[in-house]
Amino acid sequence: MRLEAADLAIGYGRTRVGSGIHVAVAPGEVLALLGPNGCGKTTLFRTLMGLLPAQGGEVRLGGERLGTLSRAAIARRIGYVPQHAEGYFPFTVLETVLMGRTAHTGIFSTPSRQDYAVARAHLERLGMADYAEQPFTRISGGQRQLTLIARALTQEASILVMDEPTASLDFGNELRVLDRIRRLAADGHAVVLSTHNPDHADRYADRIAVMHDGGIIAQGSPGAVLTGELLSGIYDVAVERAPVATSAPGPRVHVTLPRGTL
Amino acid sequence: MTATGRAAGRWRLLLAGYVLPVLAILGLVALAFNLGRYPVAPGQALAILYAAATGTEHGLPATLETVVMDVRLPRIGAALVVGAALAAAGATYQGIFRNPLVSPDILGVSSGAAFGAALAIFLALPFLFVQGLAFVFGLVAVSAVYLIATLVRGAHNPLLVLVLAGVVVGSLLSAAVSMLKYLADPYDQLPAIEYWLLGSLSAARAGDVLGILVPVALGLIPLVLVRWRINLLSLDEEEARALGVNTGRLRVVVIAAATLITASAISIAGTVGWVGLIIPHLARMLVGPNYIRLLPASILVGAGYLLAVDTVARNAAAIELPLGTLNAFLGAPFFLYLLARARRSWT
Repeated sequence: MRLEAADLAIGYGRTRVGSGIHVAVAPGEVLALLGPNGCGKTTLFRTLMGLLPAQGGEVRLGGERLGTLSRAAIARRIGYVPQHAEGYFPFTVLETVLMGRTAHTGIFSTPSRQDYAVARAHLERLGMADYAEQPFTRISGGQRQLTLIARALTQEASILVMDEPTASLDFGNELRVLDRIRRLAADGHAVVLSTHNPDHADRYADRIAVMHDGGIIAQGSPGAVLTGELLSGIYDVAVERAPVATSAPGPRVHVTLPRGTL
Repeated sequence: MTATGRAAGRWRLLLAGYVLPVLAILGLVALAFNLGRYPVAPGQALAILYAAATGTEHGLPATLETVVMDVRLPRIGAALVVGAALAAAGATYQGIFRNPLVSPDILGVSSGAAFGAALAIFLALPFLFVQGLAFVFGLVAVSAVYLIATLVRGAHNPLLVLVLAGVVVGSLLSAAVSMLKYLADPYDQLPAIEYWLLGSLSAARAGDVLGILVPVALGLIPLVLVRWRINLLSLDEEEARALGVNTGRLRVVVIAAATLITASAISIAGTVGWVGLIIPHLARMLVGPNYIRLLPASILVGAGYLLAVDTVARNAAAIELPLGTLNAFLGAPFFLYLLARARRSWT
């Protein structure tokens, strides 16, 4: 299912955060949203999921207008992976993942055997089966992230929205989660994620949208969008992009470094 | 975890959350019939109850029948219903406010009920009005809180606004109760108001218990039906909505249901504190935080707990101890224990 936003204006109440936003992501594709803190990424995400009303323009999910869909209908189309989830009560990992089935169950029903089976299958798929009975509050940051991804998958939504999925992860978990996201796209999901790391966007996204001051200032393939000048401009810090010497075929890998390092 | 391990875990939860509380309640009921100024043997109590149910003769003294049918039975029923109601409401409020230190009176239902009861006593209205006004003002207080919170919403966190509105309305009503106490006749009305505020089941009649069964059921049944979704209300607002829950609508329904049962319970028992705060914690220790099990377990543990405390209240000393006060003596140390544990986790 395709997620499209056309001429979208975003904001809270009377505060306008951004406007004129065009983004689209198709099945099998990872779109990375890059931009400094406060540029409006989170507001855009909230608007794409219908958590905030669009102040102008519209969002379409597989051709349907977002505004016409109920919360449950949206949840069956978009799975959301928050940056982190506050564990107020120590639900187990399995119970947490089961909450992804809510949009598929009636208001008065409790999860069925089949819902449990779906939840367990996704935990298994993400290598989290052994943690099913552990409290969500007691597992590591990487495991929590995988649990939240499993929960979004349990929604059986074809679009996944991930808010800085690697923000609080250590180096190993960061790479593992990014690798997992790549595979989810290969399985046919349309993935939109935000990140602060241009090199991650470069390596793991098919397309990059750069957000600055509430607008998308550049959009396209990583090679075309990511330049030293652009990054220096939006982050207000002098950086350059340097190719990594490699004999492997395919597009060249770049890294972002402070200007003058090389 | 293996399938057998899971099955064993389920049995353990079933035992701890349902079987043991039900057995404990049955034991406590037998004990509660037995204990008191007129001891009634369990066999006698059973014979009288059986005779009453089938309309046959039991051949026991009429005094015993009066004690069992008119004194102990209504009181036991009241303790079970009030305990279950307050514990269920407390568990629900803790979930939707994402805070394990919340009790059912967070939105001002107790202050409203206290005002209603004090007003009825002050105006020298018949006893039925004391319960009636307590119930009505309990609901009015929470409705006012909800209305205020809706009016000032906007960009604020809706839960925070709700809690603050609850604090304001609660304080206002407490001030109104103080004013009524100040104006009340010190020999007749003031003790009656104070007594009501202490909380007690000694005045509970069969009619009162039957009277609140309907509103308690009207509140409890929807809560039990939507209990899986109460889990989702305990997540962050945005997360819950992204998972497909219409949080605004569900929260109104859940708050209305929890308020209805709390107001019903308070209307016949007075302000019985602590039950709604500590019982959900006990239940959480037994069966975990999932409302699929937590809500039924809270109902059972709450019913058993209040019956036990009420039995102590009427037997521990030559005069009856006020239930609310006894509860506080038991509740406060337990609350401290919870605070000490809180650094680890709310299990």
